[in-house]
Amino acid sequence: MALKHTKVRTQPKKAQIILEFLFSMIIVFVMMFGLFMIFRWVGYEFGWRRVEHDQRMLNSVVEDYRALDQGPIEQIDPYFHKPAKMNAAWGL
Amino acid sequence: MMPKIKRTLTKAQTATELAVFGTILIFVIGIIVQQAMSFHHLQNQNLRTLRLAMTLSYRHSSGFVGGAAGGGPAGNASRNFASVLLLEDRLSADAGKYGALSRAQAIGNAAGTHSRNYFLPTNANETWNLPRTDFFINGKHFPFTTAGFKTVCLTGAKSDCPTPYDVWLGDLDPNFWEANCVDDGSPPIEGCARLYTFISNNSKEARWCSPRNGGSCPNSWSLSERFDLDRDGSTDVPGGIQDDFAWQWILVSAFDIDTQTASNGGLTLLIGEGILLTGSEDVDPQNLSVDVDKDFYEESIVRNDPTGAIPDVYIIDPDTGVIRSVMVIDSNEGDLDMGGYDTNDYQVYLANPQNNPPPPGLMKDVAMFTRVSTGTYLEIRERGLYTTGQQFVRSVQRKDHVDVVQRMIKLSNDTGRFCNGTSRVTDPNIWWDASNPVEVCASECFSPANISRTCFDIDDLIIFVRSRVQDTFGHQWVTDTTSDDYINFVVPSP
Repeated sequence: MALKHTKVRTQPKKAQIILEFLFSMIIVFVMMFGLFMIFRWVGYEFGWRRVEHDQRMLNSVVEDYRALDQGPIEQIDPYFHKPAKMNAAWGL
Repeated sequence: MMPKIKRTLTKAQTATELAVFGTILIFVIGIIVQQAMSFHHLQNQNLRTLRLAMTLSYRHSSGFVGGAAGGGPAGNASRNFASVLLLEDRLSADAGKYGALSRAQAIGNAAGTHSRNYFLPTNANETWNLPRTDFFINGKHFPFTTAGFKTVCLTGAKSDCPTPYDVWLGDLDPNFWEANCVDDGSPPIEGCARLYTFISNNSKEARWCSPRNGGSCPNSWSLSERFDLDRDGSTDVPGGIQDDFAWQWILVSAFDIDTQTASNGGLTLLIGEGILLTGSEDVDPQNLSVDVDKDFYEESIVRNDPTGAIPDVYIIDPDTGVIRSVMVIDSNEGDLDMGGYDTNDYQVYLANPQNNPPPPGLMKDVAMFTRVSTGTYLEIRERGLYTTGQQFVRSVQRKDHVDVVQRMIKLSNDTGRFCNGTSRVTDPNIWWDASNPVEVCASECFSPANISRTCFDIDDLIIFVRSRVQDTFGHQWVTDTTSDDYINFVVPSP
């Protein structure tokens, strides 16, 4: 019994590595997915803000300086940009 | 034995490797994301500052701001060249237990011009047309004037000055007076004040005088005096380089050319150039930008006075043409006077702050207070597990506090726009373009009552900008376990 007991303890469990790999990778994949989505958002948002800035500057407007809503001031609105959704967890 | 040892060592090797390399990968990507977020803030700041400057110039010159106090539908000239400084102390991207705690500054500076009021003349005491620069610090808007009106008395004796006046030129420099200025045909020769302006060395400037012109300069104003840059009586530019030097002083006498013209030759200016206050389609006004207070900076003479300023916007002796007083726009008299300072001045201040005042503008000092005593600004909460009546399993980590970020702005002059003594100014005729961001005026801005408020130190002319930035972050899980089976442990009564 003592010998058998010793053998059981020293033998690796069957598929232990695969199970460890499976569980660990699921966690790592989920974390990496979120990070890459943030990484993707960072680049996308960085470029898109610049594009939107240029587009708004060149938008056609009512050529009347007193037309507040549709006039030239619309082109130079300081709050011209709305950030894109990050979608780090879901919502591709 | 060897196989046993190997098997033991390989236990959880994959998981360990994944954990190690995954951690490194996540750490590296996290650093990249953190840096990218900083660039995001900077890009956002730059674009927003540019648009803010253009918007300010547009709205002010188009008459959208301030109503009648801001110049009415004609608009004003205060932001013809709008200059904006936008500063925000933003939380940096971090993953702490209570979210990000550290802040990084994002600062942007931009200028914008809308040309509608480009040539709008500034009349006497039209303070809404004085140029301004705008600071936006963590959401607080500080419009600072960069010029002010000033009436300068130009008479030989102080007792001859009109009332009221701000400065008598004789106070500033005892050598301001030219005794032999105007010949009016009868002795004695009239005296007048000596003013100065500078001209640049270019082919279009007919008044330029240097050795290439033969060295004989007009208006009895010699080469040596023209190149006496600090006006201390000695020539500062060697003769060999005077032909190529960038600029020179010329003397402007406080003498009215219109009066001379009306005298039909009865008045002769003996030295320097006169001042032509009025112009026509054929003749431009002359010498309206002159140094009237001997500070080596030119001031702009105000010509128009539609509302009848007291004293008159300028006073001219009708017999001699001598100008006795002028109102000027002085770029040294605003809230901020950025002329004449460089980075070395700040180093001098840092080396000995007790004896050297800081140069004007936004100071580099920054401080952040987070108050933790009862009833004040910091609350980090980790809640208990149970409440009365119902049973919950809770996990709450919550941050709810106010960061007080302190910035300091040194003013050049106390123009009375922010504070009148210890009273905060709220006059809508002064604060037509924003509300006064100063909350308290005091000699002690670090008292318990003032420490969290934007405070104007009336002695040192420093505005302590205290931005109270609320910072809430946290998470909470609540599971109602009231209906779960439980054993009511009742302690039996003794």
